[in-house]
Amino acid sequence: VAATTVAVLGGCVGSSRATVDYQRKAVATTELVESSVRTVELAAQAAGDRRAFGPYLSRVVGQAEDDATSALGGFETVQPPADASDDLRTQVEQLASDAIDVLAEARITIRRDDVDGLAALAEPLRDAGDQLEQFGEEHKA
Amino acid sequence: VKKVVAITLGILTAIGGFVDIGDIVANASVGARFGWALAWVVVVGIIGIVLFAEMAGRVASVSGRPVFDLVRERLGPRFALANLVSSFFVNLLTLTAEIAGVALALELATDVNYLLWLPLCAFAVWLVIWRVKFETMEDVFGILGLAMLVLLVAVWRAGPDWGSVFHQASHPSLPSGEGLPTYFFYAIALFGAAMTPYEVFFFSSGAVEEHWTRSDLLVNRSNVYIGFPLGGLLSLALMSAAAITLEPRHITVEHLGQVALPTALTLGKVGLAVLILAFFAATFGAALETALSSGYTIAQYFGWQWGKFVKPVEAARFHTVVLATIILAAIIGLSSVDPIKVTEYSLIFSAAALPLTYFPILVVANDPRYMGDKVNSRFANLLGTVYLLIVCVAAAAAIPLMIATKAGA
Repeated sequence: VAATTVAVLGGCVGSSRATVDYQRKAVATTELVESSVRTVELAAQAAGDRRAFGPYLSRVVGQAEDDATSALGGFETVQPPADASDDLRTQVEQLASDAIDVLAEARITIRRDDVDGLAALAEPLRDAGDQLEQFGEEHKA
Repeated sequence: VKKVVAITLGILTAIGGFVDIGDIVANASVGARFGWALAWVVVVGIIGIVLFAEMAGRVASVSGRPVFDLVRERLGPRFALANLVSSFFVNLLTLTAEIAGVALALELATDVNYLLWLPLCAFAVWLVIWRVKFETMEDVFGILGLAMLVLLVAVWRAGPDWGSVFHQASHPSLPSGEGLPTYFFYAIALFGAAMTPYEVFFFSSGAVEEHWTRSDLLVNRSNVYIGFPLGGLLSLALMSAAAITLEPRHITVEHLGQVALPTALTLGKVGLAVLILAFFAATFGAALETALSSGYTIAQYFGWQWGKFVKPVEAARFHTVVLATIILAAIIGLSSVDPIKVTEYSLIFSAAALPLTYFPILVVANDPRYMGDKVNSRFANLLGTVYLLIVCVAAAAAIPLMIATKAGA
């Protein structure tokens, strides 16, 4: 009986811990994507003020997009521990994918030497960053 | 001008030690994550490296022999072999990262992938070591490395609240969400970066390359007391630029390009170009240092003729080791391993190997058979002993903390 009780309780604790771990991973993912978005936001600001040259901006934006894509890809490989975690997964995927779309647009724009186009993306980038930040604050365990 | 040129060995060594590719990213990463809460580690590191580099330079000036040569003679081949193996391993990792660092600087300037630049950079490092005189090499890269001073201008132009900066630096506290193990992991990485073993091997061998004698003890002190604090100051400037611009925006530093953003925003295209040139010069200088240090330590351990003060044909084995190390580092770099991660790990392994480097220096600098009346003062011994304790604690904690924190993740 004792062994069964321990096993059952252990299972409960495990499940609960797994949910918290999953939530932590979700927050860590949005923080990584936010970091990429804020980096490109600064790059867009530098572009708008003519404070950086094209090859540098292209490299910074490209690396930020790669980092964000890699962070989301890593999160998507994690198995949600319970049905309740599916909603969290959907939210992270939605927020991160939207942010990556803006990053991709920034990368395409700067590789076409459209410095003003990159500068114009500063606002959508700020919005995406704010949403990711808000998600992180709401779900920090 | 002569006086400036006389301290280029110290400047080159210190820039390699404090602002090589690992330090550039580590300092910016720490600034973006902890603000100024780890600035004290840089100060502790500066005092430590000044103390031991002065001893190493004094040993070389008085005895005419570099530190590693004397370690084998004074402490025996087994101890020296342990020192050699650990320092060569750290050197190789660091050289890999530095060559990649040169390529990363070129990548920022050209937007051409760094892997395409890497073989050319490795070849250029070897060519400079093979063809360029030691004095010319140290003058050119020591002075070019001073382009890093643009960071000080960028921080000054950013106009932080200096009172608040001083308060944060002098009253370090953990940012929310950070744990003590991670804090101390980064503290050890920064300390390891400041006290990297190759700095003293390169500095003392450089002193022999330049034929320093007892009459150059003042030059030794000038190099140490100006060069190393300057390197430390640049290290603090990197941390500050990130703390001012990147920390409030929750940016995690993963790439060299992010490190340059604060300077671009405050100083524009000219400042950015100077900083990328500085990245190139600092990492190239550090690559020269680490490649030469690999040759120095192995040749000095086996008693071979070494150095650039003799013709290459007279030091063939030394030059072969240097060439082989560069090729090996380039192969590792081309395997597409993340150069930033390589250098972060090298800082931790470097911290773990510190006692093997600094204990023998303290022993040799106290031996009157080598030093005559120029042995350490009581104060230098007291401070040296305190630092050995710090170094041992850092060495013991380095790898467990790396495992526990998943390398500061």
